[in-house]
Amino acid sequence: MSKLFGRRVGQDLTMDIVIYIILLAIVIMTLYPFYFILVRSFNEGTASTDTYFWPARPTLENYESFFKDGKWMNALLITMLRTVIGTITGVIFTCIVAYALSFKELAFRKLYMTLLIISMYFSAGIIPYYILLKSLRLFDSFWVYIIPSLLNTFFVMVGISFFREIPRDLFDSAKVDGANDLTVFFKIVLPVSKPFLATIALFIGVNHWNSWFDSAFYIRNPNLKTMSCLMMELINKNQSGYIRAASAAARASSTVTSFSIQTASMVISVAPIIMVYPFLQQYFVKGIMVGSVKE
Amino acid sequence: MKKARKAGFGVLAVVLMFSVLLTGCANNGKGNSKGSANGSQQKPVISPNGNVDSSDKPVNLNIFIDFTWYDTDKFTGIIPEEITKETGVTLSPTKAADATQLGVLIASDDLPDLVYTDKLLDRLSSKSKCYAYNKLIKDYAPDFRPTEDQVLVAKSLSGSDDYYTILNAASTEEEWHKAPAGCPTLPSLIYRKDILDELNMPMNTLEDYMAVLEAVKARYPDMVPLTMEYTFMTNFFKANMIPNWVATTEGMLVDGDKVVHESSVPQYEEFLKYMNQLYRKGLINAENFAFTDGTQSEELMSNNKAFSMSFMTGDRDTTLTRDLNRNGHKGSFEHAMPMSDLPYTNLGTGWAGVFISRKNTDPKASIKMMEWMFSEKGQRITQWGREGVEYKLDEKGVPQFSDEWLKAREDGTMLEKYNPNYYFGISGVVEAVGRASGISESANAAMDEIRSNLQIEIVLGLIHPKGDSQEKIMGDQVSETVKNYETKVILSNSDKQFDANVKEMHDKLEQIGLKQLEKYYTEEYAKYSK
Repeated sequence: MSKLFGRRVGQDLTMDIVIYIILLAIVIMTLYPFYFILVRSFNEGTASTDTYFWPARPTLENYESFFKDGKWMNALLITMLRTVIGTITGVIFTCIVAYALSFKELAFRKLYMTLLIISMYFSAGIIPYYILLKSLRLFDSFWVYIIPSLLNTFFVMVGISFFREIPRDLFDSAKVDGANDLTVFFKIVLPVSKPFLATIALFIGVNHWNSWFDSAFYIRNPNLKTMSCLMMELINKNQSGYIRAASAAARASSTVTSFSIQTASMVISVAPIIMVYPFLQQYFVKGIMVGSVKE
Repeated sequence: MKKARKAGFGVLAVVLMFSVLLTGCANNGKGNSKGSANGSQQKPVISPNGNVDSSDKPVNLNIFIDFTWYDTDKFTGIIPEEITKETGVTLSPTKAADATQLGVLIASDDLPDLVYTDKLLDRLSSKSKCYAYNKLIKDYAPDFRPTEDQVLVAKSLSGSDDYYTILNAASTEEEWHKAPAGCPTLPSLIYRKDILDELNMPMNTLEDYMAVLEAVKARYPDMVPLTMEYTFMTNFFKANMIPNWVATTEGMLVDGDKVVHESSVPQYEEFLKYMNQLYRKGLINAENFAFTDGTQSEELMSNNKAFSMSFMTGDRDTTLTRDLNRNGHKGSFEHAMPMSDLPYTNLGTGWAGVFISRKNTDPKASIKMMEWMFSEKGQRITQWGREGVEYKLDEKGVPQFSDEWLKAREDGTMLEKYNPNYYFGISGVVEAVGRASGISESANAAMDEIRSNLQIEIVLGLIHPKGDSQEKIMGDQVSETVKNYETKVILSNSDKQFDANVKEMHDKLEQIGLKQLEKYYTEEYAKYSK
């Protein structure tokens, strides 16, 4: 018996070691790029080839350049505002629509579902969308970040499945006590939907935070540009040898390069998401499975 | 229930409050109408002689700058103020976020007043999209006389007798040979002068250069002998090895009275062999072909990790030397002279133009502005600033810039203070002469050598396969194929692998229809040559 027990421990130990090595490799491959960017952001832009684990020439100049530049701070503010407002409004609208559609007895439900599914799978393309936004006078307006993304059709579908799982008895007993539909929604449905709310809030929030296309195409006012859009501009500038040469000439008194400021802006851009994520993580795993299993 | 309702209303109130505040950020007083890309409806004051009266409030025009890398999206600074003073026009620029944005604007019929671009030139050269320059010149600016070559190039874009733009940065061969300094932006090589002096070896030919690289590798095993900058890669070697090679024609070049692809001339295989030898001797790295932008090569150079870099003409040797020294390494960079007797070839057609769209609110002010931009005064102001203030011409006709200008160039305030980015009418020579001022002797020497031997092949630049034509599709496929196979061939590990890869490339090109493409180009070349 002990001999048998010893062999199993040996095999398990070997497998554990192999598994942990593989997992460690995956963790390193996943986390190292982030760490590399962090290290480069604290390193002089012009002195960088030996920078792998620690800044070769530490400096805060990249962050100073970032915070001194009004356009980056403005972009950060716009990004934060669109994320907060966009997330709140997106969650509210998505939940309300999903909740309403979760009732099989809803009039014209099939029509609504058909429209939703068609819009989820098919799109007219960028040009009709551009013309639509223009005709709605959303160009050069903060609302262009909010209105088009009020409803997330995918999460509506997920929400329908989720809300259907909530026992109808709860609604009936609340209605017997005099609650109306809004009361049921806010007092009963939402409190028990925290996993779903957290999940969609995270997805919608991250989407708003990272989105650059709408800022690039539909906003001309530089005061309304988002951080992701400005980072795209920096990346594009780096592609041009001509612009890099001109920027290099302007570095007599500074070690900041366009890439080094890019790394600083990446760190600042990622930091809020990393800070928020742990608070939502407890809901994330549960939330991602919602609606997937039917009783 | 009351609490929930209060909380809900509270959240909505906060959201609405912020939204109202932010709505105020839109329509920031530039006069742009909401939801429209068009300029303001400001009408100009026309003085009795028919010119725009610039003493009154300037005309504001929206311009779309179709370059994601463009250095400015503001019309502020000393030079923009001078432009407004001279032309009565202020510009509200919007920079492209992405290479497809212009296509979206064209398709959705949402072009601004002006478009400055080097793409979709044939689509914009149409009377449904833009005003014809020749018609506007006739009506509003009869003194505006573009050169014959400029008109020829512009008409080649529209395919008709009307032309819709004039490309900037064009100059004739004669103008280049007479220029006091500078040359078009062409491939060049930057190298470590101190290391070459230490090796005490000549570096006049490509064979010399390979020998130098081998010596560098032997003496400095940790140093990359040659790094190729992302944009310019192998261009220096092609320019020095393939006769009549041009960087901007997707490999098409003139061979006698024919136009052929670079892969069809015997020197192309010699070029590939040379590059393959560089690779097999460990003088270039495979990872160089995976670089995503030029900063990676520049970092190697400024951190004492690379001996030489293929790049472009200009002053990068000076700034790399400064960065190298700042990083604690002794040494200096210089530009190498051309390493063959082959003349450098340039199209001389210019590269980008301003289109006056049909949505333009003031075509007259627009064409008058362009007339000024192409004038000698306009060219100098937009690139060099004001004569006597920002620069003085020396005896050779090269601008010597003021201390303030040079300081602004070095401390990063050039854009904010002067903003010399509205060079819509500049000639190639004026641009080059300005850039040549104040740069290193080696950079100037290389440019002087290139310029003295420069040949302009304008006829090749007149051939533009239409956007949806078979030739255009074939041309794109050929470029893509060559780009992919060149890397594969250069990175071959043996002669056998090299030959097999070269054969595979030629077979693939034949399959795409390279011969048909060459025939098309040759016929068009003959047509335009007449």
